[in-house]
Amino acid sequence: MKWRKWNRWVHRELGYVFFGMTIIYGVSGIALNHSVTKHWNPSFVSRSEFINNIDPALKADIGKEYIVEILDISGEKENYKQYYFPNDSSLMIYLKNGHIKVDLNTGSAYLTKIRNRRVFREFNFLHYNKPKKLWTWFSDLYGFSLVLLAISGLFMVRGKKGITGQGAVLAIIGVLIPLIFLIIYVWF
Amino acid sequence: MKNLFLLFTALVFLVSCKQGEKQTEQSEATIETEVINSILTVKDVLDAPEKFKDTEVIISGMVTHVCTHGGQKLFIIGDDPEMHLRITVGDGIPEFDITLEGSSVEFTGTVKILETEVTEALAKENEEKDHHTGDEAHAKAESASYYIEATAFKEISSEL
Repeated sequence: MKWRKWNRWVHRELGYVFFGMTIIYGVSGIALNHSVTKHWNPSFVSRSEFINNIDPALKADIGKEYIVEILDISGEKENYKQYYFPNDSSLMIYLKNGHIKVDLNTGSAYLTKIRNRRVFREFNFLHYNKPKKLWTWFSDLYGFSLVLLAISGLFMVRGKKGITGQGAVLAIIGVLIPLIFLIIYVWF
Repeated sequence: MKNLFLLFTALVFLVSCKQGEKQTEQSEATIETEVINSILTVKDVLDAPEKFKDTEVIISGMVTHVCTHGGQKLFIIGDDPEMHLRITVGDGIPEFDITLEGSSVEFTGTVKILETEVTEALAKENEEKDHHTGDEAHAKAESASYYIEATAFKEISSEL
């Protein structure tokens, strides 16, 4: 039948065109899942280490010398940006790509270095639609094409393994799984 | 393949037309916004946010925190570290980079004030998400009704 020929054409061509987009949205989708559950931050890599030998101090007594001393101990003098006091007992020293947080009461200090996580950051940038403008249109087109891919996919194979046989069972399972989660978590 | 190429050409043409229309609308909207050219401090805005409502301002301050959940907002302080102001991304800024933390930055943007119901919903959402860094001043700014929607920014150098 002619409609089957067109169906195959739509499925095949869209599949090729949106191969890259599917990889981007699939990978960043997994990253987003774990970002929401706070397992990790897909956009940044953050490493913290304890700094020894910092003396406790009073906020009123802190000046340039105290900051320089901490920068010398941590080896981050070259990366210094600015500092401020979030409250009376904390000091935050900002560095290029990180910061040092000092508990002034105890002298305990942590150096945190932050850098962008390659690939994931770029993929998420697109998945979150941060470019806006033209990207909105292209990603909408991709979303619409995914619907077409899904529908045309149902009719790719004829016979026992197609939508009139095993395919129908699998498709129903795929629809039921999200429905079950909605029933459990949203509707009841 | 030829059909697909024609389809894409038509879509690109359609998108270009729509973008042109949108840019014209945005230019008209900018003309209607009141503009204050002098550089404001965080204190200026926090003392009387209503005074600057829907006004385009230039404000400078030190960035204390960039939201790591997408970089869509950051917080600045002026001379008083107890006074934080929330800055969100507007047109022309896809995201704020984490490297802005600790930098002195001059932002151009519009002062926005949310309705009471929206502010309450925002506060509830922030509580549930546990996004804030821990200190009270920062948490207050995160759930405040007033904020600045930035359309441009530039870093200002600082030395020890």
